[in-house]
Amino acid sequence: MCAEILNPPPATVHPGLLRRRSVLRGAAVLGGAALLTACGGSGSSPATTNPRGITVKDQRGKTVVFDKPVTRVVTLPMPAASMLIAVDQSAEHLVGMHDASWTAVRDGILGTIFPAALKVTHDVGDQEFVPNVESIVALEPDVVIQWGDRGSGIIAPMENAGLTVLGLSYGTQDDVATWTRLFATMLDKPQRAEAIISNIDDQLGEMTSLGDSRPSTGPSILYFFQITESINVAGSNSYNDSYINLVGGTNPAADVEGPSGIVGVDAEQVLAWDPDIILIGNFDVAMPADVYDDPVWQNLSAVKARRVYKVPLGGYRWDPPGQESPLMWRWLSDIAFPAGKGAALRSQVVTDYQLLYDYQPSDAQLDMILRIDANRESANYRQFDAT
Amino acid sequence: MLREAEPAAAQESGRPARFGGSVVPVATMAVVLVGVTLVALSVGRFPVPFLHVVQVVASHLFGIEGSASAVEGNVVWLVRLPRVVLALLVGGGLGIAGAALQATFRNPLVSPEIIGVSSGASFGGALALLLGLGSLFLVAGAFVFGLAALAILFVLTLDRAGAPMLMVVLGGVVTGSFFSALVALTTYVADPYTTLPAIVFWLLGSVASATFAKVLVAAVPILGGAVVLVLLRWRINVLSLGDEDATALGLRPSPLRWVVLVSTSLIVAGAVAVSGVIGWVGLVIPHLARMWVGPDHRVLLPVSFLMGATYLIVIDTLARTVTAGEIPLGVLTALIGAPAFFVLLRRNRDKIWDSA
Amino acid sequence: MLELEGVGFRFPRRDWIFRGVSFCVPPGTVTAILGPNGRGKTTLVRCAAGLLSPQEGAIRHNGPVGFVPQAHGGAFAYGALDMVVMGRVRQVHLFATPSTGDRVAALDAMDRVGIAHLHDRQFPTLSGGEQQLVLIARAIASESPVLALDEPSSGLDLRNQAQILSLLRKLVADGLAVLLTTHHPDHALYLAGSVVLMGSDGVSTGAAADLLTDKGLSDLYGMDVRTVAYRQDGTDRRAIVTRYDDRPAGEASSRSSATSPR
Repeated sequence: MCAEILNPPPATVHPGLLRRRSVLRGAAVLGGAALLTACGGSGSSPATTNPRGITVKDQRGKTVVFDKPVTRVVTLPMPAASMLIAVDQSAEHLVGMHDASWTAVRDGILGTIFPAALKVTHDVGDQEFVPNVESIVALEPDVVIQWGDRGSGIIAPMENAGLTVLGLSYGTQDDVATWTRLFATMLDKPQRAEAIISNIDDQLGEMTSLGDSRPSTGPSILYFFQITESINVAGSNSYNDSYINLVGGTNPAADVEGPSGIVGVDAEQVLAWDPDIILIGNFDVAMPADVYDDPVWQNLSAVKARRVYKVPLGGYRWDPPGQESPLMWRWLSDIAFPAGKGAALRSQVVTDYQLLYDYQPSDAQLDMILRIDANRESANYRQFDAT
Repeated sequence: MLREAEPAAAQESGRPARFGGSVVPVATMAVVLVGVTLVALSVGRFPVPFLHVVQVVASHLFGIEGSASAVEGNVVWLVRLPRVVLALLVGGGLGIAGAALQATFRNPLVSPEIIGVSSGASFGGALALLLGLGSLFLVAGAFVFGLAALAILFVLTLDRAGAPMLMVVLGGVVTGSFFSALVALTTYVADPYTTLPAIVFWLLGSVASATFAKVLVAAVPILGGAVVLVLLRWRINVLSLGDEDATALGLRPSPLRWVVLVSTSLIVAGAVAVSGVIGWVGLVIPHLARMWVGPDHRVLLPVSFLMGATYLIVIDTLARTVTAGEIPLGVLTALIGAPAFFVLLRRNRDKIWDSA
Repeated sequence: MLELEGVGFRFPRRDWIFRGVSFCVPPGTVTAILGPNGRGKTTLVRCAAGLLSPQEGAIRHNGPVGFVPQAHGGAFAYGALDMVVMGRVRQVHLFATPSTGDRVAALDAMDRVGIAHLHDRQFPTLSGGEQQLVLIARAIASESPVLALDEPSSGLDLRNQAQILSLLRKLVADGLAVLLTTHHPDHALYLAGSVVLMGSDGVSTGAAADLLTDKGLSDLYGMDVRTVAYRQDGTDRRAIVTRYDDRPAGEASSRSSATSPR
């Protein structure tokens, strides 16, 4: 059903950027690495349950058998913590997470929904995801979730210490589905996976047909990964590029390739592209007002039409793939093709949060998630106001 | 009192052309720099006709209205010009600082990185980025820790008999390593999703985020330090003979050396604050200049400034025009500078090492 | 005029290298410092030139001392004239560059030492003798009434040595006061009116004729040294005849230790 956006990500490596890339890769991969290849149930099932226990197969191809559902999980990949909490609808089985996951919980709404998550240990590894084996062993976890595509150096020390490790990959909507199934299986809550994935699939189908119904050349939308000190935008191969196309927009930076889809460009290049809409991601502190006030950007169509928007931040950042991605698609669709009607997105957030977190966000919380304040001066944003 | 009759013959023949001719290389290089600046202002990813570039500059400088559009005006005046001027200042500053350091340390392989000031300034800037402080603190941090590196070097080499050169170089290596470790620590504790990419990009070296505010911030220390160095140009010749010779000729080397070191630190701190660490310029440019005009710092220092400015403008123009994606400047200066330097060293090694 | 009175020097936390050294170098005279290696000749001439500060005693001079170091390449290939002009650093303002007058003075100095024709050569490409002459010209260009030279003839061939000695003699005739260290007693015999002998049992100063005797030189170097008299251009001169020791090693060392106990 989504063949037109199903493309294998090319394995491009920019030779001059190797060092930078290695440091950036966490951020870059998260910022949107590969394509949106969500094909719902068509993916191979990563786990099966049998009477002798729970068998899961991680993304390295390694099979792990649990005697009983896991109750103590440590996560190192940054998006894994919030996804595990969403699948579990609880933080009680999460006993350790990466420090960057923890700060996202603290700063976002997840800490409000699940106060217990704030008390979870978060010194399990460094920024390069090298595990702190002793502190992880001390947590006596049933399983440790770790990156599976970054070499064995960050996994072997834990397996040598007798820990059970699941190695994961990330970057596409497909991976989100795989993780969701994997987590649901090991927690023995398979129905959660089906609920979450079918919700994502339903909305993907809806957005796809909506996008297809639109004129072939929608507004040009440029996603800024960073804009303050250096300018980095989403080029081809980026996850961001895929949802810009999904809603019927065009990415002016589509002909620029970077090692991770995110690529540094010159201000002049942005002026030459002259995008209709600018998205400021959650990996930069800049807000629309900063762009409106900068004399360099005065003549951009997006500035003149006041179509500069800060990407929302919910249970997790909406820019990279995650359990809240359908909300990002819907938000971007409403931004790119404002219908003038209100509340559709807000009610969808309420519906999805009910499903994901079993939580009813207040109007004030919805305003915070949608960054109503930051985007107040931008065109067509009143459509998201509370009714 | 010791004067004999004027040796007329020696006087006539003994007026070498170089005394009168020192203006020629400086003027030549200045003309080249102006030309390169104009070309750099005229090229970019956003097409602006050359005539419109001139009109934009003229309208801002002299109030003459032209037919350039507003967006062309913004491209030339707010995007290209600050960037070109910043590259000019940083490249020129690093060039002259490298030349002055090589004279002071009497070692043609010394560069601003050697005495540890670059590392100190990088740490100051990285710390400001880590703490999420504004660009003013970025500059201030680079200054403070660049000068702190110098102070540590001073304490390390403090000696009543004057610091021997070897101690200064070793002290620079020690300070540099120490601050490099602190930079590494900064990147280690930085949030990998927000501050780390900014720190890494800044450390790689770029003038991409140039604004007139940054130009101003860079201009004060860089031009200030460069003016002092140019004023002392002949004294630096004497200093480069070594402490014993300089003392014997009646020059107190220690205070002069510290004036030169503080001036170069100011320049390097100013450059690092606005553009991160851009390597190789301070090492390669003085060499190129010396091969052309000889070691006389009366000519070498201004030529190093002009040549460094030209070089970095060219490199930065390539960085922003060759591909739609931005190529980090520090990568380019090393990629172009290191092989070029290798070739020049091979070709001129007799000239360089016989005179060492 | 250069005058040392009771000068003593030692490096921090080391023994005295010398103490109580007093002598005077009036204009138009040469004083030579002689002695075996390691007795402090270079240290003494550096003290006299103001490059080292003695811990005790006083040094007086009627103008800056022009110091001529042993020739060395230097890091940068300056022109010979550029090198000589640097002797004018006292006359050039802090932020200024040498004036035409400074360049004329430098060319004068080069002419006086007979190397005006080398003005546009690069210093490192010159021969050792030419480099030494450039450094002497530099000291002269500084208009110092006193020259202090550290082994001005070391490393030079016989002809260059003779050239340097003749030049120094000419400069002294013009009224310069010259202090130099040397390993060649011959050079002291030729040039010096006074000598400073730095031997194993202290420093002695006095007239060359009194101290540069066979006994004095033999004691100084711990070996047999003879001088022979000869006549040249109507002047009585003396020259060194070295007694080469061809005896077996055991006897030689006993002779050596008898006169030079260590």
